[in-house]
Amino acid sequence: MSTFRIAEISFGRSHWDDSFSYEYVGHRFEVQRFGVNFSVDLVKKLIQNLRMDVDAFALSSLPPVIKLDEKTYVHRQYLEIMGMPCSVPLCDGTGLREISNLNSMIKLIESGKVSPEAGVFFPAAMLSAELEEFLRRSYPGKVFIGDAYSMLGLPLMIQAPVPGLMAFSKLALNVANLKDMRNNTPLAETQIQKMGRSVLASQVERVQYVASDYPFLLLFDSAVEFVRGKDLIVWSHHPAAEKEAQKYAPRSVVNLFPEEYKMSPYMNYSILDATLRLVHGKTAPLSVSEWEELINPRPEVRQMTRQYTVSHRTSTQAKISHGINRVKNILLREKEPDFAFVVHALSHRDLLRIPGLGLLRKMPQKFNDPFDRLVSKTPAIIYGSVQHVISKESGREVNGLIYGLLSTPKVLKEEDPEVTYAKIEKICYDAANRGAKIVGLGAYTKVVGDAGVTINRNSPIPVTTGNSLSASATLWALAEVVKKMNLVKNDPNTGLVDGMAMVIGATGSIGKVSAKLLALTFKKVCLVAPRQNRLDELAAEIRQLAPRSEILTATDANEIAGQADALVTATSAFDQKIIDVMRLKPGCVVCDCSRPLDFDKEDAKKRPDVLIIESGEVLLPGPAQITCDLGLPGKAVYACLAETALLALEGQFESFTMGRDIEWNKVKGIYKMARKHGVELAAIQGHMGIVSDKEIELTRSLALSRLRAKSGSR
Amino acid sequence: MPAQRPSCRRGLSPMGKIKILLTGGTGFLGKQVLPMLREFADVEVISRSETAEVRGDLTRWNAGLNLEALKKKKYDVFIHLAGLYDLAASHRDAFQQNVIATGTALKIARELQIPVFMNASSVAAAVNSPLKMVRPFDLNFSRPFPDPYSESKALAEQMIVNQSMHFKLCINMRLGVLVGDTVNGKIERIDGPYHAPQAFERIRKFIESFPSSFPLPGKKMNRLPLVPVDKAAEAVAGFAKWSQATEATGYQSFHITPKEGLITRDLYLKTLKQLFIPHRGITFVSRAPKTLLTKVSKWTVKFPEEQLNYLLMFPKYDSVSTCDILGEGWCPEFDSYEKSFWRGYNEYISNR
Repeated sequence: MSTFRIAEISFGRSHWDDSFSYEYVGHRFEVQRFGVNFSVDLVKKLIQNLRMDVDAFALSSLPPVIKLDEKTYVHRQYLEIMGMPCSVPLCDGTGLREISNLNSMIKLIESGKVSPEAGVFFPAAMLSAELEEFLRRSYPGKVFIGDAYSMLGLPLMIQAPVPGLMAFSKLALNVANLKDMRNNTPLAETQIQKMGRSVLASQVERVQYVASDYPFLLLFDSAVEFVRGKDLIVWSHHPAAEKEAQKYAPRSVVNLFPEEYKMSPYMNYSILDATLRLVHGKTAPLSVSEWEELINPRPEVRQMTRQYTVSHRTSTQAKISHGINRVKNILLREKEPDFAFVVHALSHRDLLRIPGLGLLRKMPQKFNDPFDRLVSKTPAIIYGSVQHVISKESGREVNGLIYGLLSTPKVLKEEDPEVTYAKIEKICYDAANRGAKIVGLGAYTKVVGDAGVTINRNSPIPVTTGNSLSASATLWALAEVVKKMNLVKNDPNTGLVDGMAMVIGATGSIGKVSAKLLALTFKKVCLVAPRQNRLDELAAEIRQLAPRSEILTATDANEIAGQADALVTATSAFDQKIIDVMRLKPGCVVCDCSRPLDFDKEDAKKRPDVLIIESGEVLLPGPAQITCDLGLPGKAVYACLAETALLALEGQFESFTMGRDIEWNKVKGIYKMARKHGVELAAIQGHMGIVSDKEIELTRSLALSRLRAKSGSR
Repeated sequence: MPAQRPSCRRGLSPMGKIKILLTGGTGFLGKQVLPMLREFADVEVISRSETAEVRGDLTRWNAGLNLEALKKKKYDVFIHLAGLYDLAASHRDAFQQNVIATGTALKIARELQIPVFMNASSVAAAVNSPLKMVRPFDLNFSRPFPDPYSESKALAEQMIVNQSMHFKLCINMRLGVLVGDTVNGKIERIDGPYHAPQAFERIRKFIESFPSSFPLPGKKMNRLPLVPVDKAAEAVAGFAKWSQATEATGYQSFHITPKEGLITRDLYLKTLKQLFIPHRGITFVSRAPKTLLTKVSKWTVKFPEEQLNYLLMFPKYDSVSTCDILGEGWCPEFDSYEKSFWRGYNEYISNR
């Protein structure tokens, strides 16, 4: 039996904080309630503290989402809370409450247990607009609203429908939006409100039902004369609150909360929302129809409730709320970055995406290069940011800035490296001034000149190329693909892969690291490099590191290439074919780490039964948000960016990887760090972009048929 | 669900000692309490520090503890001393460390089936009580609280009341204003009555040259509930012992305050004498609006507003029930430890 943890954060008072557990469809649920006394700050702090420990947050008594006149109104603070970055679902039970309450109400009316003809009073109709609207339309003149009192402090009870009620409600909602929640409640005890209480009680005398949920009702403290002798309609269960409400002496209590979901004496829609979402494995908020599936009302009831629960448009008020929050975020919450990362325009087309430059799309092609050179003279821009990278292990959060150089790779190659150094050094200073503690170099910026050494020397904060994690992620991707291809078996005795891996250019820095890594996982590893003496040295070193695997050496790859199940090439051979693609074994996975690439698109086309990959991209841990387009699908980021973020998470501000060489210890270290903090492999980059699972499957079936044909012909 | 009260069990360890789980063992009070508890009990401290017996953090889910493993230890008493004592704390910090942490402490104590829960609260929790002689159970939420600290302490108490049926016995201890111990008066920061010498020092010249009796805020005969920290610690240890001997059940609340307390006039006069400030007597200003008094004190002598707020309005605290348990003379009055009070203050000032 699995246990789910739900933290219920109630926006209301903390008197009623409690902890309890219950079981539902074979799962155990552990709930603790935290009351925050109307403090948005505290809600955020709690979410930050607990998001690593719990499976869901149930947010109750939040400023409500109100559906009025087919438009949605939301309070600014609600948006602020629900917009919190969080890797577990934030459940507030809104959709569920609307559908379920109406459903229960219709049932109760049909069975004669509730007869709204006797009059229903809503102390705050705003908090249950769907119920109020349904009753108002079905029983005109029998619904009374106390919002003027509870929200504005005026001792008035409005008998609905009155002309102009809708306009008044909308106005009130817009005004309420500007105030913080606390000031809108009867908790703000002015003398006028105190006097108003008794006036209200006398006005309510001829009404039989009072509809308000416990949390709001209890805010009135002892001044709830209007409940005495009435039938109280509520929609949550809380033992302590029920006991407290008995002091107000209602005639009876009608609970709209569905009995079949009362798993514990303490239950409300937020917790039910979290429970159902966890059981059904849904993280996103559910739509009305999905809730209907779960609650399963009768079709005609479904039809009836829809008009009160489905909204078509966002109200102006909600838009304003969004706007206020956005401005607030920009003005107040620009987080100090922990790291910075430098990227550049990958092509001429990228430059045209800059607002205003789109007009130049029709420019004759011959002007493209001069234009790119011209644009590259401009200083670097802040392209975007990476936010809320949260370590799985320590819960520490880091944020980063992404700087963009407006230079295409072609310009960078042609340009004097000194010019590029100067530009990147400027970025380093700017980042340091903004509070960043480490800078990562992306794409071509780490290849230019001496690969970062000069930049690091002149920068006020450490600079890293991120190559250690790039190498590590690439081999990680190779292992993943070999596993997915499922053509080679694992040896059950040693746990090693029962096949041969081959490294071409094994004595180079990337080659060495790859060879060592592969020797740890493959039964047989073949090292290929032009000089035999250096090969022998390496082979001896690897035999010590991985005594269980067999190490071969060769100076020519072509002889033995037909046996390799996995192949890593890390050469720097310009315009010279190191290996003939036709000689490769069907189903071989090739990892091309050479720059320029050893295999081109033509090669890939010639051998569809061989999978050629270039590099692995990763996913950052936590609810990471990237505000700009890095040219990768979804939330994936370059491994070198992830290395920079990881160093910031670890607090290890040093130029971890520098120059063209990479070190075995560092590759191993950063891989461990990545696993510890929760970095995951996201996508595998091939010659034609991202390699999908479908592609792998296709390659596998082709390879299998070729292998079969081969063995058949023998 | 019927409330399940853990049966009262004497889970004595081999040495015959009771087992106590303690939070806040590293604080001003906790440091004094710990050795006293260790005399008659096996004490394990929950703390964030690496050296703690039980490593945990009350702001995390279940304080990050392995409850299943801890359950086997069968503790007899849970003492919750951890909290934030800062009258000027923000709403967020006060609530997180006083309300939410108490909720988690209660949850842990319930899960571990510890029969006795003891909580250290503050007299500030009763700040809204309209009574002249405040009783240990008084809580009033119908008026707004003057600061987040008192509100958070009051809510934490209310939460314990609401959950007390899960324990055999809940003991709530409302501490008065803690001052240095009776032996050498050592303090860790300037707080409460220690603000008076600080303030006088700032306007020494002015008081010396003032032509008539010097006006000071406050009511002449108001009493400050000062408690030396070692005596407060003795009280906590005393209640822990009492919890094992008594037949009392349910929620019990006590004031850890002196019977009389120090009169405001005496505090001022003693302070002036201690600082060797010649003066022509003092006179009390109590008729002026409180806001004006606190603002003026803040601007002229940097006397923290929220501190003065309390100094101006301390009522009397009913400590009869405390004396019944701890004995009449458990808390000495100021005169008997005045020397060590000033020694501790001077030492703190000279080492700053």
